[in-house]
Amino acid sequence: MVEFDLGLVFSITGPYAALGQAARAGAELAIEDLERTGVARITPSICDPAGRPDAYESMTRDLLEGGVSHVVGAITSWSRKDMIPVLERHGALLWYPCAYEGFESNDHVVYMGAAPNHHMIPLLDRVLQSGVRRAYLLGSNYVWGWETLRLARERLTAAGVEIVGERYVPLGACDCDLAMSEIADGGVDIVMNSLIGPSNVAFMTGLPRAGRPLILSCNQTEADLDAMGLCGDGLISAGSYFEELGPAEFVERAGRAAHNGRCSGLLGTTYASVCILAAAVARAGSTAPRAVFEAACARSHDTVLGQVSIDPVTRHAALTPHIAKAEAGRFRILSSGAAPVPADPYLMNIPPVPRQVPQTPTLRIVK
Amino acid sequence: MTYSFAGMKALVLHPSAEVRDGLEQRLATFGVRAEGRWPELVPGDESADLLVVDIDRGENGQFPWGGGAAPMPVVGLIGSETPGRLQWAIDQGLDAFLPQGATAKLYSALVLGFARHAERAEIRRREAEAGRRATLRLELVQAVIALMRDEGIGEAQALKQLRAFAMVERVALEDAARLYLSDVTKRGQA
Repeated sequence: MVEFDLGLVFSITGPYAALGQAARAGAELAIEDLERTGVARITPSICDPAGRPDAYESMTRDLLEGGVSHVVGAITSWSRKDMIPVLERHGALLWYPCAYEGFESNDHVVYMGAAPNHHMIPLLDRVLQSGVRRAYLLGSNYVWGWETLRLARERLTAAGVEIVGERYVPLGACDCDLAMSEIADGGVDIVMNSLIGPSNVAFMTGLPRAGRPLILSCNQTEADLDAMGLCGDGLISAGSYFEELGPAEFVERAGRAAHNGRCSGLLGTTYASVCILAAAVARAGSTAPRAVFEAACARSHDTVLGQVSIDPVTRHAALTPHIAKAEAGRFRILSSGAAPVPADPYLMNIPPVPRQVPQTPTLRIVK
Repeated sequence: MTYSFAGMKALVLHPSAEVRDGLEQRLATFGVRAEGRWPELVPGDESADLLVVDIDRGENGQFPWGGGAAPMPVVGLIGSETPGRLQWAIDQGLDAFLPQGATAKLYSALVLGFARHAERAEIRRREAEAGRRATLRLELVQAVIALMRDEGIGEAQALKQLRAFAMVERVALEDAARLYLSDVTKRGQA
């Protein structure tokens, strides 16, 4: 049984605590299971940056100076980008378990969460088949919101959809009234919702349920679905894991480990990340980040997310995309990819936009 | 916009096979087919869409074009930071720079390099156009004089009329002057 130290950098307090709690529960469950099954004895070094951007850098530095060379954590892209310079200086490796907006391939990160070709592209392409005419874009005011909505605008516009509004809400803020009134006034068919944490909960619970447009998300998991009660119903989310995918025994144990009693995409992905890391350390016979990364890439891994392989050049996991709809507080799978899809973080191979309505002419005759 | 480089062909001019291979792999993730070269480009390489060069060991004779005249965007890999090598890079008019230890940021260098190259191509095109129009100054003067004579108007009015004619014909003022002088049937329309 291999033994090593692992840093866990998740905000289990602060503006997106529910997400950090779910991810940390996944890591802790994996550590417990790996020890029980005799694979690895992992000593976690735990810290809680409480969602403060400046704390990620200093807390990660303290962990790495303490001798840890692998960290699981971050959640937001903002925090990941703050951790990267410290990881680079110490030659350490971050196992990042969240869906993100793509356009990164750092030598000190393993991207275990879904990339845009796993979430946004299949989600929009599915919705576009049902004749969308008017869309509203709403997101948290940092790189996740900016980039996912930029991509949504680009793809929706190319498909002939009119973007009637675009708003950003500060991370942690709960005032979404302006967006809600614009959505109510705008005859909107869909809302692309890239809000996270309490802003997302405030929006979903504040938006009247009668006559709602279709709400789409690439970051909604079971980690904070309960916080919206039945107001989350109807939301369609894209991700690489949902509770319904099971297996039942894992979902049950995950539920016991999680703060909200629920297995979630974040919990499952973090669990799988720690399991792959432990297998790679065992295979490499070392915790040296480069050797571990090469070992992780050397074979495909059988995980709760299904078969997962890691591309040694893009450093991203190949994942099976799923689209699910919230019904009575639970995600029901609407569709799943047939097989794991390699991540395309720079969106070099996305399929052409399915055109659904004639493009609005940009020129007209003026008498 | 989401920039795409898929389907392009790149050349990596670098003495290290490891660096060449690493960049070829990374370029492949962008859908770019790359080939390594050293010590120099070969005939036909002018048609590539992108060139990555080693600033440490780069020399003028490695390219079939003069400094700053590469027909494709050129990204320079910075190894040592000696002023002499950086001066060589400036003289080459490279479009973007990338520290050799940061090849994971190649995408940024491509986006900036292609934008810079397109901007420079546009500046060159405008300069060439301004030069071409400058050669037509005599025709412009002749057309204004002809208009003054034909229509019995002053020079300001003649120039204004020639501008209106250029707008209708959707050509530059100097080209309108040449058109006016060459085609008597146009004279009534100016």
